[in-house]
Amino acid sequence: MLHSLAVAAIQLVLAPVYDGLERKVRAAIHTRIGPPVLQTWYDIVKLFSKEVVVPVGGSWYALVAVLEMLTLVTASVLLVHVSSAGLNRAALFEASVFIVLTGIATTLAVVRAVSQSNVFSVLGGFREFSLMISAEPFLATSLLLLISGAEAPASKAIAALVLVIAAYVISGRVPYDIAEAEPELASGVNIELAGPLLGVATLSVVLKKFISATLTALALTSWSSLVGIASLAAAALLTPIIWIAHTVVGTLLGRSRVDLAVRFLYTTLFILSSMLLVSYGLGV
Amino acid sequence: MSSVNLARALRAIKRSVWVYHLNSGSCNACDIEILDALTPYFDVERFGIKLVGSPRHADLILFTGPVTRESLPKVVRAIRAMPRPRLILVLGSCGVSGGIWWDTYSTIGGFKKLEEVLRENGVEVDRVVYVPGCPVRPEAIIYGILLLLGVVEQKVKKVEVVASES
Ligand code: SF4
Repeated sequence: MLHSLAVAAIQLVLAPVYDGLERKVRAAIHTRIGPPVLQTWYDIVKLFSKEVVVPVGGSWYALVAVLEMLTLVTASVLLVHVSSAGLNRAALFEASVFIVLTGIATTLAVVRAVSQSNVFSVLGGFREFSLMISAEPFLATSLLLLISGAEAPASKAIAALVLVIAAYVISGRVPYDIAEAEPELASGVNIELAGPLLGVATLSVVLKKFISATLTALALTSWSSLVGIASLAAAALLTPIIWIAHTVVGTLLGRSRVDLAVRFLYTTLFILSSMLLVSYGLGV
Repeated sequence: MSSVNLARALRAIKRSVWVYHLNSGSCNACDIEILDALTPYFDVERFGIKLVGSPRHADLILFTGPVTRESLPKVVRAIRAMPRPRLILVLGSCGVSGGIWWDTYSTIGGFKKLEEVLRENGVEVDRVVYVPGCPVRPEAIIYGILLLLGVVEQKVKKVEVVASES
């Protein structure tokens, strides 16, 4: 228990720092100076010092935002357990609970967005939902197949590729930032949140990025036989590197049309998953 | 009654300023200069400045225009939607005083008049800085934000001179 709490605390401290690093790297690509590495922390501290504005809908709405963040923290800790087990059958239970929890967190975000009277919030909720149904089933299938012993090289490679793509999507970067797009779209699941509640939502956003980078690290280390501390150290080392790689991809990619991004993703993941199931069935 | 420690919040905002662009009926030249100030060329993110799409997320409103009668209720709603502390940077001659529209039938004549309407509606604003110009320059917008946050000193001060008989 104490160990899990320590892991959660470390992740909560690190995720905004990595996000600050992301902003610095993005600025470097733009040939700008960019904000300090601790900028995301400055933003969160500022949000927690601002006025508490309870959205139209009541205080249950605030509870949902906090619950969503706690669900993501738990999911992130479980992922560390999966990582320390070295991605094998011993971690099947933790991986299954992780998948359920990420689904619950997304559902909570959708519910609190669509229950608002603000149409832009409802729009963001539907976009979040469309991303959820086009990425999370594939994420679940590939992770479970990798864990339950897709030993044949072709199956393993395809499962790892599906996991890498699905993990990038849940990180919410361009072009899959359609649910909580940057200012020019003026819509999103967090549009009605203010002050400390927005601070909690910001923590959820960076935690999702952390989970995404850890999942990619798991996919990349699925060929190694590392377990325990060695496996954890590899994941801890790879996470910021993958985070920066995600940043570079996100900065270089342009934002595409909302429906096109989702349709392209769904088609790609559907084809890859079909290939995965066939290769798994054939044992190649 | 606000639930916020204003001094602590203003200290935190110094390092992280989220701005919301509010046009109350300007000719759009000031708005183009705002967009210019927010481009990578000026790199305002190095001061922690970020553009947001909702007044709920904003710490500071970049306010332009002489406040047309049509936009007045929406402007009041947008400013009320901001969590405190509410900071406003009034931009351009129109925003500052109504500019060339100061006495036309369809505008109320700039932010000074709007302040009265806000007071009547119980909407408190914590800090205001005026940046004149027609249109206002991007450098002046950035300087105005830093002035509002207390990062730089005000260069020009109002001095009242009383002429004596002798
Ligand atoms: S101050 Fe000048 S440029 Fe700005 S909105 Fe008014 S008329 Fe246009």
